[in-house]
Amino acid sequence: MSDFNITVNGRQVPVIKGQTVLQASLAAGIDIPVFCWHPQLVPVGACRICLVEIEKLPKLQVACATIASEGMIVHTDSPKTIKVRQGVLEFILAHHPLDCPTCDKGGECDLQNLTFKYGLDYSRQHEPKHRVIVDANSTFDDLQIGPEIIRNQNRCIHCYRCTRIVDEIAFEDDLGAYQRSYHTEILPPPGREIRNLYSGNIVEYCPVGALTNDDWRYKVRVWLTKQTSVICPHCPDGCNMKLWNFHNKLFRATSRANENIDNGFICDIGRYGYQYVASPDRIKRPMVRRSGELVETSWEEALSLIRKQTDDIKSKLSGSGFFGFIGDIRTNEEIYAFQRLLRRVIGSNNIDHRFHRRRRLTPGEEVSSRGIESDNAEFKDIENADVIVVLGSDLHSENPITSLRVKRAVKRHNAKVILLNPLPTPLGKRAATLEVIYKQGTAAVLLHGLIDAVVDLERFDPSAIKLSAAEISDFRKANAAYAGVRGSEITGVDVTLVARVAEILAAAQNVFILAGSYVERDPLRDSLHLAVANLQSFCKSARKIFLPPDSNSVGAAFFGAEPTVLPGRQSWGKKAIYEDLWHGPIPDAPGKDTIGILEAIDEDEIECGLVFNADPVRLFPDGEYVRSVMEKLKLLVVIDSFMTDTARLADVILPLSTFAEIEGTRVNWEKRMQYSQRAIPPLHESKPGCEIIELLADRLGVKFNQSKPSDVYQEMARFFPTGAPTTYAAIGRDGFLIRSAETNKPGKLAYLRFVAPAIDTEYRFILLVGNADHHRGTLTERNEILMKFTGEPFVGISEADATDLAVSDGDLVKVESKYGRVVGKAMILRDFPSKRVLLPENFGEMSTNILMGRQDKIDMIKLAKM
Amino acid sequence: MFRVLKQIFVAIPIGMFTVLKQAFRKPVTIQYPFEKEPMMPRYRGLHFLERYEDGSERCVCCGLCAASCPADAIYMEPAETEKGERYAKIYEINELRCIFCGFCEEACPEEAIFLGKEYEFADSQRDKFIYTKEDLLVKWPREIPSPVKFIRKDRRVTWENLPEEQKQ
Ligand code: SF4
Ligand code: SF4
Ligand code: SF4
Ligand code: SF4
Ligand code: FES
Repeated sequence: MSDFNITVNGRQVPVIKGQTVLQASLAAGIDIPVFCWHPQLVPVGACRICLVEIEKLPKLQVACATIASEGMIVHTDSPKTIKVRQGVLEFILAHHPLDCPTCDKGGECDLQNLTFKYGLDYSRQHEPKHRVIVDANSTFDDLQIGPEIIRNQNRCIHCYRCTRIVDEIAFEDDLGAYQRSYHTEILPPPGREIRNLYSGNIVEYCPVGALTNDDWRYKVRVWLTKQTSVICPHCPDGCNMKLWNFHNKLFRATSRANENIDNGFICDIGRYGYQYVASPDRIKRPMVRRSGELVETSWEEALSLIRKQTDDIKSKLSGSGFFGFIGDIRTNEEIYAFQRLLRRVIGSNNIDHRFHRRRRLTPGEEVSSRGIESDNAEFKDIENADVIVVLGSDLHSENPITSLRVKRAVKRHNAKVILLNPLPTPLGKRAATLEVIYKQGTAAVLLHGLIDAVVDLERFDPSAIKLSAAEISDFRKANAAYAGVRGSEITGVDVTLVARVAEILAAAQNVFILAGSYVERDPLRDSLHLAVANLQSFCKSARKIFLPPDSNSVGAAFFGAEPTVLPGRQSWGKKAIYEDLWHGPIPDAPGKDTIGILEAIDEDEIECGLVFNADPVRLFPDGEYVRSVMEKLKLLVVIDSFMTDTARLADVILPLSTFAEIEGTRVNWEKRMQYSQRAIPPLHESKPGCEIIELLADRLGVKFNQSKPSDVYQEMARFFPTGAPTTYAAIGRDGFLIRSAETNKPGKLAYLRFVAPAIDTEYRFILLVGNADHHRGTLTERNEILMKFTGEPFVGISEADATDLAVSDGDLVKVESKYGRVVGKAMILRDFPSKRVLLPENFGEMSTNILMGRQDKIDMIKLAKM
Repeated sequence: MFRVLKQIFVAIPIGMFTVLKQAFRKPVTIQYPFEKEPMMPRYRGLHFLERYEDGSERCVCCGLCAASCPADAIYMEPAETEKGERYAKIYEINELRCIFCGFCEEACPEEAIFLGKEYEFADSQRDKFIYTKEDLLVKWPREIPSPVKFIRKDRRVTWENLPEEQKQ
């Protein structure tokens, strides 16, 4: 690997060409102190603490910015370098307030540690220290520079890590360094706050206590806390985090750098999201319904009640009278154990986890789209792509760390980023080369038009792709209705814009397609999946990823939380293996999916449901219908941590532990399985999922003796690819990939049949569901810190519609569909297309699903001023 | 015979003389609790928490005393005043666990905690030995002058005592 050697402290140290002296030394285990250097940032050489002696050079050099060259002889611990370090520290400390007793960084402060190691123990400075006073009333000159972040300029050592993270990594502009020399102040631009989605990272990486946040401020001392390694449960990126706890209370979350995934940066949703664990709204004890009211009771009583009632239903309807829903944020162990409970103990295959897939598939579609799945690709592949297509995804808020990779590709080698979205997204202004806004529901047409434009180009080289000339010309013929101007009439996208995108695609060597939530919610979801595969076939080399909706959706699909597949994505023919494994029969026929289950309840075919950390009443289209159906159930058992809309209808509620109180594994979008530790013991009377499932199974007559996740994991491990770890201890830092061997093969070209949805004259607006700033899904609504960034729920409308309806920012507007209505404050969004309405799905008081029809393909609404 | 006579006429009078001599001497015992001896200057008794001369608490709840305490006798929880100062919302010392080593006093960077001369705090219930912040803080206004000499008089360079040229 290495290109040549240099000598550091008399040792031979291998160097890869282009590495700095610091990087080479660190890799060889030679420690050089740093303040301003960070592995992910471009070195600036601002702090000078890393000065080292290099022979034949007259002065000391900064190790962090000096490129190693052959034959260098470096001394990092010579008397001269030690003396210089002392000098640098003395200069830094000359104006440093030494607030260590009050400073939140005390105990983990680089300046403190290095001063302890190298510094003098007296001060030669007798003049008063320079001091930035922000408020005559405050003793410590703390300044709130954002909803969450507090700056203390006196402690700043001007390393510029914070501004560089904001600029180089996050591509944001809400923090800068103003003035010069020791008057330099770290501030947001005048009149603004620092509130970007990655702002927590500057607190974590400030080497001193100049930047702190409310979350950790004056709460606990770092040396008292214990750390555990967990996987963030908030999105399918699967960032690695550390949770810091003391006396079984969580105090903060920080990143745990994993170069495969997060590079050490996590978003604020993950950083502050852990707070829901200790929320006072948690369900504390089991509850049962007595004369219409939910009352607290004991575990014993709740379980016997379930036993009694299920016996009745089972004798009447057998196993098919039951169903189970499980949320995508649970661990693989819980998902596996839950489907085993349902299949083996209860004898029902009615199980689903897909509340995001909001449409019933027409039978034809379902068949044709089978096999169109994500390719095998990793975060690192995004970085290597030269063109990144983001299709139907607000990547910034849905997959914040994937979004950082995209930005990194732009930063590192000027990758081109093309956004194809039904609405403008934050990534557009920050990293996009071209941003295309299509009309919701026409994405498949757009892609076919795009393919046509690519083929039309002179530089298009058919020999570079794996399609024959006949295939291409047939495809073009079939596609004529969607190409050029005719396509643009349907999609509302300008022909020249499509041509420019085509130009970039045709020149691309390595394309990465990221398809997000608007693809899953698209009325033509499955045709769109096929269209993506078609586009892939026309690119020289392309990978596609369909980003899953929730943190462990991939795991839920893999471990059998679907009615038609068995764990390990095995088909029904392999049933016997599972009967052997579970020592008993499982039902013969595949079960019903979410919509099928709801309809069966409506027709009294199903009478009992187990809902495990899921909230269909809040999330599934036509909330009112789902509610009325759930009310019909004879027995609804909800296993959850919070009083969700579904839990309110329950007959029995069992309190469930949250992600910090359980151990287990999760699978991110790369299909990387990672292990998450337990940080604190279960709070209140809640129990971890695997334990609850074992209790239920035991009560209902089958014992698995697997109440510990590690036991369940050992059983699951047989479904992994060979060579995968079979114990938690063997999983290791990097996790492992559970994907199948066959990779990246685009299938045959599929033709599109597009039928424009009938236009209803009354409901003329298209409903788009998105996320509010600093939110993702419904887990974040109970979080005080994240709420500081967001404020209230809003109804996002375009400037043109606002003028039409004479609505101004903050006015109350009514959003109404055939099924229901919500009222909210209008928020006028700039550059937002007209005749669309954006509603965040993060707020309980404004649930979006009551506006949707369960049979409708596209959600049409009307808007009026109140 | 001779020995008996020697005891009667020599040893007993000597003993009687010693008794009489001591009986008229000033006694060395004192009438505790009515009388008390002054303690040695470096005696380490019950803790107290000092204040600044304006009455505010010196302790900033940094946790160093607790970290240095070999008996794990100190517990605290910090909070913030509206002036942005850190203070101890809860500060407790379990005097039963304390071994009066004085490490806490040694560790304190704010010169807030001291071991005083008080030794009379026996009680009949164990939980009475958990001294809270209110128990430990010196009475304000002071009833007796502070026994300790501080090095630092101000919490922090404040606006008032800032040199004029820096106020711009
Ligand atoms: S930044 Fe470090 S050295 Fe400065 S006051 Fe805080 S803990 Fe002490
Ligand atoms: S605030 Fe912290 S990270 Fe930013 S320049 Fe100052 S010391 Fe560096
Ligand atoms: S005197 Fe010693 S044992 Fe007692 S509280 Fe202080 S440090 Fe702890
Ligand atoms: S008494 Fe002193 S060492 Fe203890 S918490 Fe207070 S300031 Fe810190
Ligand atoms: S780390 Fe090299 S100059 Fe700061």
